[in-house]
Amino acid sequence: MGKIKSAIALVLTTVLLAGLCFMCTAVFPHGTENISMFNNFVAMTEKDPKLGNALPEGYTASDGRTYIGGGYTAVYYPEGVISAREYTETLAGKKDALENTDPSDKSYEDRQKDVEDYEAGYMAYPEGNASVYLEIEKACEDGEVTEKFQADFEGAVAQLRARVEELHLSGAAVSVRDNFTAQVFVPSYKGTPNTLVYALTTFARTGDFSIGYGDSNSTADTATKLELAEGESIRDYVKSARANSNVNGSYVDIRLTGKGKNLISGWTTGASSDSAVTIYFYVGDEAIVNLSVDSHITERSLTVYSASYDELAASAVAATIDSALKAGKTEMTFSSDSVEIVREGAAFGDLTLILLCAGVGALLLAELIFFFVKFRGVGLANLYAMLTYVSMMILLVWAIPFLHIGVETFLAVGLGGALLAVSNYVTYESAKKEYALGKTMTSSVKAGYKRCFFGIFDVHIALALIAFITYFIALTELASFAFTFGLAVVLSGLCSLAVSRFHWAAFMSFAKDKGKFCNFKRVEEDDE
Amino acid sequence: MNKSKTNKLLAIVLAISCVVIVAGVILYALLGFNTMPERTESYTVEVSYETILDEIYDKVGDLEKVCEDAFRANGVSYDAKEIVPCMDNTSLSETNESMIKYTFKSDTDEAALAKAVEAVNTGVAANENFDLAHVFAGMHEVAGTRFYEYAWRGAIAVAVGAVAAFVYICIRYGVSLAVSGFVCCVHDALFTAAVFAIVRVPVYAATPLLYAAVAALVSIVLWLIFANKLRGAFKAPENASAQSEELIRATAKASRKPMLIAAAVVCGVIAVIGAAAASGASLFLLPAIVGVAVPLLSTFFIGPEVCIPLRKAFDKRRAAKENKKGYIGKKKASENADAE
Repeated sequence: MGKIKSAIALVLTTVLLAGLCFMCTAVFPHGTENISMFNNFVAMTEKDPKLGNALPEGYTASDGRTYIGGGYTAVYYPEGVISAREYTETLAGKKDALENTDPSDKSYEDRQKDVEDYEAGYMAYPEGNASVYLEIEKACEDGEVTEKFQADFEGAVAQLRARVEELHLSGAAVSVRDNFTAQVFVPSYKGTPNTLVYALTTFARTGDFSIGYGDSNSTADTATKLELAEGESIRDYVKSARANSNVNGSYVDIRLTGKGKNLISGWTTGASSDSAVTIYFYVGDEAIVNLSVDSHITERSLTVYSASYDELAASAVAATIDSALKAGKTEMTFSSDSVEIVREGAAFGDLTLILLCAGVGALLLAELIFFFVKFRGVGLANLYAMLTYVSMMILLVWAIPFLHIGVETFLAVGLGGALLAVSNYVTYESAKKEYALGKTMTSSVKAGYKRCFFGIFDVHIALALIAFITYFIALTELASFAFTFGLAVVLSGLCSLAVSRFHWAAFMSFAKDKGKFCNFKRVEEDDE
Repeated sequence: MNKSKTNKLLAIVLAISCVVIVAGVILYALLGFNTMPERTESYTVEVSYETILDEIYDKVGDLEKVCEDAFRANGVSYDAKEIVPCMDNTSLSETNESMIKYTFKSDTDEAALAKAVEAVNTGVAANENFDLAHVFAGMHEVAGTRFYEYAWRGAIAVAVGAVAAFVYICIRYGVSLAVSGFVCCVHDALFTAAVFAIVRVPVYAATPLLYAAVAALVSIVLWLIFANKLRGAFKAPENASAQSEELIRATAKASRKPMLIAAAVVCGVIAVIGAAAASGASLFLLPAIVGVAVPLLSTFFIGPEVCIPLRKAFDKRRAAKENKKGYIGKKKASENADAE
């Protein structure tokens, strides 16, 4: 490459790379009285809730939410179970009322009875430490928890677990607390506060799935519910529910069987814009979805859009319907009013993100110094390749909606970077060996790359193949790692075989002594 | 190393691998991985209070002291402490309540903890500073549930990925190298997961599969380094008359340095990122080094030794095919001889 061409190419790529690096790392306030913040790609990317807040105080990501990691834990109380605190406070209130009543007063006896009834109506569980109180009428018999209550609770937890699992959210978890309450953790990186609450309260709806219909004047309570004939189940009508997204937003797709299609077709025969038909989908006694229909439906799937649906809300509704469809019969419902929600901090600690960035930065610096020491000027080609790789990876992780910054992302980017470093080292060493044999620098580089090309190509293709296949099958952390690693491998291959080589040629055109520039030496032969 | 010594070594390595993998499978079935860091099985003590205790009276420190004194007096110690705000269950905005959440390991003495909670409530009742803050301490036993879909889909993903890599290596380098590479890859993924099941190093629930995937990936990289060198050796004119067994052994020896360098670089990346990260993330990252060490050992000791008999068998088959091609029949051969 000529000097002028090289200079132009280097200026262009340097400007491009500097712009990319700036967009990836810069954070500064701007606007009138510094009211706004310039958000870089790292700040704008979704982050794993396990990583803590590494952003400066008052710094807000582009969507207006300050990233602090962690998530929300909701505790669900089934009907017939109350918290120790609720029991203690209610009882204390009743006792206070009794104490403040004159024993000669008419209401004294009623209040005394009220206290006694309340005490007699609940059983502390477990006996030793009274974490919760069970309503004797609903849950106990002869001082023991009934088998039916136990089985119903297990069925309700199974439904809850299926719903949360279906969300495929990294970090989400379901636990059983005190044997008779359920606890769900949902990471904070998905959805808005409104949809998170919507998802958490939707999960509380347990019970059988059913469908019904009514006209524009009816409500979910007055609608005509489908009466199942003997031997029939709701799965004879409805197959499954799935959440999906398109340009119009997120929606729930309810798939029907042939029988279900005929049923809905019958219900909507007379539907028009003047006399709309509303189809209700119930989980337990409450309608979870209302679908207003103004035309005759003959399809096998019903698409339900709602202004309140985002990806999380639609997934929660679909998972709730799907689990209610597939789960066994349970008569237990969680009380949605008594769901207790707390905000949990980041599992890995508050400084994890910044420490991980520092670790990757230190590695990058060490790699660059190694190449400058070992190959002098060729270190510049490696610098450009590495910066292109890192900034492109940050850009891709930000741009691809299902990726987020997490420990697995750091691991994938780090391993991809290691692959790039090793590939560069192998090609530079290969060219060095060719040069040592007495070839010119241009033909050494050409021969060096030619010798290594298929080796590097094979490694990259095989790794990208395994990574992308793993991504398509696996879920959560492993899928995230696999996809990021697949991207890292592709970029590593491009940077090693194209970016590095191009910059090597460009930088070398300015060097007078090319061998010295690259720290390559000829093998001296003894003339005898 | 002579052939009999190598065979003995291979037998020992394979026996150890089998024992480790079988033991790992059994222990996983019985106990699962040690997912203690997720605190899926634990006790929690939640001390709720109204936020005026913090915002107006600045007495949360006093409340913590009451709790910690009670724990100490009853001989229990907590694993983690966090102050968590309580949220409104309709708007998800913070309410006027918070709680101090103490997490205890699952092997904590339940009775002693219950006594400690009682002592906290007694201590709170005796301290007038807490009167207006409605402080209440409760103890809970938490048992996590598992998401099996993540585990089986992860395992299938790694297996299918390994098969795809096997097909690719098969096309590029031939069946013998592909089969031995596949054996190494599957061995490394299983061995790595088994190590975590046996030694019960505390890991996050999803990570052993991630480490197995890392092991499979590293295994493929190392095997490709070897395969590439071996192909070069077979093509080199100076090796035209060499036996495949000799070449494989010589290449395996010559590949050790680049393999060690590659593995060291990967270990370095993991170690530096892991060491730099906060303790939680270190726990996530550092065990991944096992996923690098295992493939290194298998590519040194298992892969080439598995490759030798396969290569010999394929060479034999190819030679037999070539002989068959050269065979023109007894009658024609005698006619040719007569003509000559």
